[in-house]
Amino acid sequence: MQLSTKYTIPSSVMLQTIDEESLLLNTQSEQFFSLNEMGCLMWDAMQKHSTLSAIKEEFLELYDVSSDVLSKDLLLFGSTLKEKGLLFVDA
Amino acid sequence: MHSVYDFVISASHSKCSVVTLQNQFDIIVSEDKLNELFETAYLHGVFPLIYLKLKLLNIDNDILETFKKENRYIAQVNMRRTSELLEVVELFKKNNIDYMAIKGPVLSQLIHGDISQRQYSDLDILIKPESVFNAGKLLTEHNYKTDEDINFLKNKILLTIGKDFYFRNIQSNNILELHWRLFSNVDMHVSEINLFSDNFQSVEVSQKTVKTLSTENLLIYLSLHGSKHYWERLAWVVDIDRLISQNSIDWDSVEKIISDMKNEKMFYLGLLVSVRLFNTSLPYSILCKTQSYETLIPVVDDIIHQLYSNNIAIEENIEKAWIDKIIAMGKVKDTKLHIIHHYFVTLFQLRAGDIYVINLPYFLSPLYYVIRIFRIFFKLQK
Repeated sequence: MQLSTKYTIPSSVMLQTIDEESLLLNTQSEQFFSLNEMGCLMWDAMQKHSTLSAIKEEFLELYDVSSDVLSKDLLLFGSTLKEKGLLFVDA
Repeated sequence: MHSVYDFVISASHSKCSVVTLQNQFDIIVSEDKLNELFETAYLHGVFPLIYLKLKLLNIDNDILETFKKENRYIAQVNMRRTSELLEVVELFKKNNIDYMAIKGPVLSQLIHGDISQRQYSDLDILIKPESVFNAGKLLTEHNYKTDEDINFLKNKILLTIGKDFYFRNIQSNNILELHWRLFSNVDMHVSEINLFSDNFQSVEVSQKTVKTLSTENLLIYLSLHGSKHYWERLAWVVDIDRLISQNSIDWDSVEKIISDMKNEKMFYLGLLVSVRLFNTSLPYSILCKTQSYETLIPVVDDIIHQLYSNNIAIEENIEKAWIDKIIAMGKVKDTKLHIIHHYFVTLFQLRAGDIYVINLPYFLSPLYYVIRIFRIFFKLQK
């Protein structure tokens, strides 16, 4: 996965906040995933944008973070979501 | 159990001071009744609400952690059930089957703004009687199975006297109740609400739109349903209180429907219980009407007494409870004729269980009354 790769969030993914913790449910695999604070921010941004590079641009304006670290974190997050079936990427 | 119930009722209330809650909670701790609190909150279906209030109190971290774990588990179960409901709704939409989701996730979203704040043990969907066989067949083709033969859904007698059919998802094990009516003939002896009129509302659940009853019909349904079960669960009273306090209700329309249904006492009983436990704010005219039913006052006293007696947890004699409930429900009928009708139909009206003994063709349906008498005989024998 690259920053410019287009992605979609499948309708089979459900998000619920419980006790300051955000839980993602993949309704296909019946698996739950817990998001930390940063994960929540990224997930929210993913709903608004269709590429990680668009999220990167938004985050660079909002947060005091280096471009390299942000790219690395976004790619890791995106790849993990893809691996768990929580994100589809365009072929 | 008084201290536990005092706390559970206060904590289920949308407006209760933290000081009051802290005092009540300290008494529970001093009486070593934390286990009872845990069980009671769960049994009454208000665990998430209790946990929400516990977080505001000064309590031991280990205690809070125990409640937190259970609350998280309930939320996860609710998420799974919600996703299942949304799949079934989608399936019905694709197959042009009109539906309304009732209770469960939709009600939780409607009154708490969140699917995780209400406990629900199954899923309920209301469909038109003429669609029930097709809907049932569709479910059996999509991971659901039934204990009874699906062809019972073609039985005209069952469709007339019954109201729902159970399905179990073979993967999740969740139960889905397919309703074609909200009350059986045994529960309601006159007309029912025209549920599939324009009186519905759409609720946004997990970014998907789901149809459910209008607020007025929902209030009527919840109140009659709670009264039918003698308000044995606190969560049902919470539903009434929150629905009224958070929605604009067309009370003229409610009064008209209830009057047409000739079940006013059963309906106002629900409002009375909610006013007594949660001080629910009602329009003055409705409050006066509610209080004009003087015979309901001792019934409300008894309901609250039953709540404090922890009857859900210690109920051992189901048959006795069945008879007690029949007698109690007789007390909330509107006229003597309705009372006689209540006892008569309770005993002799055909039940879905009578039909499930054998799927008879329509011309042999009088034989169901013979089956009914045998079943009553065996029930009383127990």
